Amino acid sequence: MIERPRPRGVSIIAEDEKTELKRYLLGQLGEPDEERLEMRLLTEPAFVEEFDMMVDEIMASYVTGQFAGKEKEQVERYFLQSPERRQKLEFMAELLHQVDIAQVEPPAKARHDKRPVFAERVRAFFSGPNSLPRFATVAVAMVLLVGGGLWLSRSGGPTPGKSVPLTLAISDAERNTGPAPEIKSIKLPADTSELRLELLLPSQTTQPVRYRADFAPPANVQGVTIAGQDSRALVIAVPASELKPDRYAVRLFMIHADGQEERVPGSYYFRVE
Amino acid sequence: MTLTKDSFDALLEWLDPDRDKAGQSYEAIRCGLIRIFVSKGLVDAEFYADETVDRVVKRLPEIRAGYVNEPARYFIGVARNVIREALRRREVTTDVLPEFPSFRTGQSEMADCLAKCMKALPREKLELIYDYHVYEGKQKIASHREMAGERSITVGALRTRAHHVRISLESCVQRCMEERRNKSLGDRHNDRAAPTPRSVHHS
Repeated sequence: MIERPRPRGVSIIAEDEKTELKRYLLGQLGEPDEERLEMRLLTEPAFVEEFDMMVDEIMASYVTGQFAGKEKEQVERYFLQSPERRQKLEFMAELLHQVDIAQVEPPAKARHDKRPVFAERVRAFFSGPNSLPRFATVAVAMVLLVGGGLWLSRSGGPTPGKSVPLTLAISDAERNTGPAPEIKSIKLPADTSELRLELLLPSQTTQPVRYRADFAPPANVQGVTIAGQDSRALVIAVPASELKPDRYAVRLFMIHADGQEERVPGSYYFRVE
Repeated sequence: MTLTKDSFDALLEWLDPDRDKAGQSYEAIRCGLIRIFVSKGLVDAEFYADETVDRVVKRLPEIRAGYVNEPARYFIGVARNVIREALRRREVTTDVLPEFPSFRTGQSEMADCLAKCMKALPREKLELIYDYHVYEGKQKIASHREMAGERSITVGALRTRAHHVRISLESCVQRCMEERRNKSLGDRHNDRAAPTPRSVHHS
């Protein structure tokens, strides 16, 4: 291949060059081609950026299960050999995990008409080729409205008319079984001061000394307090003023006797209309 | 690193008579070398990049008069020798597959830091990164085209923007994890340094 002079800082990357870059990263290029590509890495900042983007794309493809067979083996055997790449892989996996959560709980935004609506996003998530290895699919989400009020009144909870109860079961995103989550909605009357979420506790092999809950990003809900806890559920009080019409995911953490926190897999999903 | 000021000046002079341009070239070469060593699976790529620079600097007095190619090409040649030597020394055979993360995502220190960093990200950037990674395959291509159209930019520019957001998130996560590690080390140090009742007695 004839080398063309390229101006610094200008990225003119053709598709075949991207393919070649990918082949380099998977160790599939011969030595002369490798050297030519490495020469560009040392002399063209724009090519370096392209290189980094390709690294990210291979990572994302790996995390989402796009590689199979021999190619997957090459990614693992060659591309992911160095500790730097492995750490980057962990970052990419976490980032895409956050995106997964956001697919179930998209940020409040006036979306373009043609953009995937929430239902489409969820459908795409569960039907896509990446759904199986992608940290496992969200499994069961059951929102139980009945019983919350009774439990809350038993625990000396809310003042009638001021507090709205909602009972939620955890949707286990780590276990790859069961149907897509059913996300129930709640409409908060104008005089609501707080939403009381009764988070039904999943069975745990180790029992923590207590639990903690927070809202998954991008929601930024302040003033959440623990209103009660027993062996069956954790109740949190959420100021109604903090909840705008949107979808939310609440995460549960176990706090052990030694002070260590451990996230309980899955989230509690609900929507405020 | 055995670079002295004089030898480094000589290297810069060889890279480009213009000192600023020479500095940029040096940085570009070093960054490129690190990427090459990482790509070859070497542990401590920065060490090997510095080793390569050292070797070039040592040979510079002999080669600079007669060498006619771009200096970067010479670095590539030296880097290839460094790689060959390092791979020969490597203890782990390439037949042994390394262990991979089990993707127990959402439960690590990195996950906590990422959540924190994402909260701090401007809404627009957060939405960009969410939307950019929503789909896979053909749907992804269509989605990126649509996103680019909405922003009146090319798909390539969109790809670059998403990359920049990822870079800023990754840097934020690294800072967060370092802070936590330093705090943890500091706490342990303070615990050790704190005088026990017995030591107070003895002093």
